[in-house]
Amino acid sequence: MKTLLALIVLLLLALAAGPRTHSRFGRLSQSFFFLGGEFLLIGWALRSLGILGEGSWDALRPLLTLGLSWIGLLLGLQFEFRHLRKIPLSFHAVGLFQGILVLVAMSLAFYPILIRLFGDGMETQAASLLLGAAAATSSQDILALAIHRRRKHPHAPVHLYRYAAALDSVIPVMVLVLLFGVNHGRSIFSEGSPSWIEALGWTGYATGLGLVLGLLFVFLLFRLRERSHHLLITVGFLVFSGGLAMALNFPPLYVSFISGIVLVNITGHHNRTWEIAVASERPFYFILLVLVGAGWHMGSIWGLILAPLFFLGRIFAKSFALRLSGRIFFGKQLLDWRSGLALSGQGATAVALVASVQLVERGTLADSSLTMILVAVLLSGLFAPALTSEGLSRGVRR
Amino acid sequence: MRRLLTLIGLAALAYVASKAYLPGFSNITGHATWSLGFLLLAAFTVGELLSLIRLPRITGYLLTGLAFGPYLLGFVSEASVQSLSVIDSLALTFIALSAGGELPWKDIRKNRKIIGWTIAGLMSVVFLGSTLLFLAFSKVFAFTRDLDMRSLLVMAAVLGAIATARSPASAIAIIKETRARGVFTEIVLGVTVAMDILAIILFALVVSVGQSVLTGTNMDPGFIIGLSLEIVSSLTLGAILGFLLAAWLKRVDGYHLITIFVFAVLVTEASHFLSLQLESWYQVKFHLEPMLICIATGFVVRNFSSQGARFLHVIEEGGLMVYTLFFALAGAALDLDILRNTWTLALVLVLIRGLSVQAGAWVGMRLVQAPDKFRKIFGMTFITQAGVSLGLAKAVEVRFPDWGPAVATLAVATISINQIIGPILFKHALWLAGETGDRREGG
Repeated sequence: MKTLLALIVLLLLALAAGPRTHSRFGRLSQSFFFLGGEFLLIGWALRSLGILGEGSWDALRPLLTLGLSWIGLLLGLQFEFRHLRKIPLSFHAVGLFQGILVLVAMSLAFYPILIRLFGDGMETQAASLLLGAAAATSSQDILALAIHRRRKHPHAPVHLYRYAAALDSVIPVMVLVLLFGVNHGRSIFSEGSPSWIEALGWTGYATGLGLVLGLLFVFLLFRLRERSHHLLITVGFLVFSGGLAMALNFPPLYVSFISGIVLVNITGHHNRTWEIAVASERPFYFILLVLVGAGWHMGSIWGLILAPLFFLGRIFAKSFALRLSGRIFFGKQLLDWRSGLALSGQGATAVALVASVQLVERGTLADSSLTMILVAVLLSGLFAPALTSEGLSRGVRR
Repeated sequence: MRRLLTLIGLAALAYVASKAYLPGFSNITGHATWSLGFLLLAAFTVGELLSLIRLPRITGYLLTGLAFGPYLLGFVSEASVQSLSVIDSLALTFIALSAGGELPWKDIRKNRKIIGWTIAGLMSVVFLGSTLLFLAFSKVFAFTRDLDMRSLLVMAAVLGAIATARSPASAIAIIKETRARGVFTEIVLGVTVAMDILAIILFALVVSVGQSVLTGTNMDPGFIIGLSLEIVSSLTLGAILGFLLAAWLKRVDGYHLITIFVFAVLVTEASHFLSLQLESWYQVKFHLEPMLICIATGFVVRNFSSQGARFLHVIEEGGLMVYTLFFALAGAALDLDILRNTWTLALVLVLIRGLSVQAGAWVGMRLVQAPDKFRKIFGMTFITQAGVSLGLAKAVEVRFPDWGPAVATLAVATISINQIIGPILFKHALWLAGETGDRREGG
């Protein structure tokens, strides 16, 4: 009964969220709501009220899996090699390098802090890597929102930002699959000596599964004409691949990401699956946010205390990393210090990272790390649109 | 060939997953989740394959569930099927909405005479015919040989009442699949939906009379009043909700499919909640029937609002997914052990029901002097049984604890056989009537 009640609440929320996003979002105060930040808090409140308790949350895990697969697929569909080849090599390099720099910088910065608070060990390494990965990713939604608002930004390298925001989402997905691999997906925060070689092997298996599923998806979609058939195959595939990944202890996000890449490179960008995936993105994302919010355990108080530090640290790291990458790959001081603010938003990929960890992990350190990321996502919903606008206004140095 | 390869690929992955019980937090959920996706994809693929040899797609969905379910290959475990039962009840209300939406008031009014007489013929002949034929064969069955005449009579009447129920879900699924249109299709659909409602009423009456006969007590007239009140309330509430749903659909731009799903969940849960609360607070047994509510809602939105076309479009878009899953899960839930133990008796009952249905359809058509062609094939469209029939069979178990379980087992076995052969006959009948899409287009 409670599970169904929770399901009703979830569906109603998704329903309420859908049409609302059609409205204009000109003012800053609406950014937070546009990005769905309040759904995290609603989820948390639902759990506190006992509507979405532990049992219901467990029963609704397939929905969480579906949401993760959905995000993974959307991410993968952005990587069409034919299209990527048209983008200058320096853009690829900047996009990836700035992400890796942030990953390394944030992981190294938080590792000693976590050691001091929670002790040294495999789980501390995993937690700091997780924080680094969450910091590396930028929100494509917030960037799009800021670009939409400003409309005119004559000197800003918008394409570079857009591309960097798409490319740095790959980093957390890769880190996630490696972390899953360390303990064969049983747990990612366990004590013991980590085997990164085994983790690479595990990543290989996960990639293989994603490739096979991607090919299967292509076969399933072949010669389908009706939209209802496409809808059935897309939903069925996402549920199947997500469930299969979970049953085999792989992250659903990564497996469907690979399948998305396979699909887009065989069938091309203009397919109905892309259309369906994008059209249904918001309700699914909001459901995911509510579920993540409901599964949110604060862990230690340090999670809350360190969250603003994580948020600010990430913004500094992004600014520094983008400037340094620009300097290395463009050969001159092309980007302003504040250009990096254009990538200050954190959104869907960070939430998906948290959801993936929630599926397999519980514990003080894990919960505290996830708290840091989620609070940073909420702060990002409040402040990042303005910061991103500021970043866009900086333009390219001549 | 491509579809076959896809199915083999899917099955291979499902086989690996079904054998992989790795330690981990997400493993149990993972199995239920992939099972759900697998049933959707595999059933759709098998349905496509069967359509190549002109068999109904829903037979493919059922066979997929049956083959990969817990009783044959075992890829989808019993635990997974049970955990997916929530989807089953949600699908039923969605199908009820669709059933209501598929009933055009204009055509019903036009064919009201033929529909009315057909229902009268079918209900009376199927009920009486099945009851009497079962009584005639009762000495052949081991489990009825030693029963007294009263019990035998009640048992036969209960089975007769279950025999009148059929499956609107499968009817709509096949009509959609074949793109059937015409007088024959309209009559079949109208009769099917109305008969499902009447079957529930008849069953309730038979059970009530039967219990008073067996216990020797007087029948409670309040029971009939209560039942009528429940039906009228459900239909009235459904009609009111229909207007509200139409207003909502008009107001909200987009996300209509999710609106319909939310509505289906809300109606199902709110009616159960209300029944439970009334019973616990006031000791009143009053049950609003979600399926009736949804039939009325669909009917009102389709016929008495400006949102009819939009509603049908949305139902059409999400319908395929719901039907595929519903029938695949129904196939997976078919208990082959029961069928294995009772198949000879079940076959006799299938034959008895089949003969009664054919005779009832013939009588109904004769009464309204329907065309000769319709008279011959009409009975073929009423063989399939599913959700409601299974529900009634389960109710027998509870109402008649002495012999109920045996009758329920037999009824489930009979319904299982009808579920498999019914859609094939239905599709063939529509084709013979010349109302399927390909026949209309001269194929």
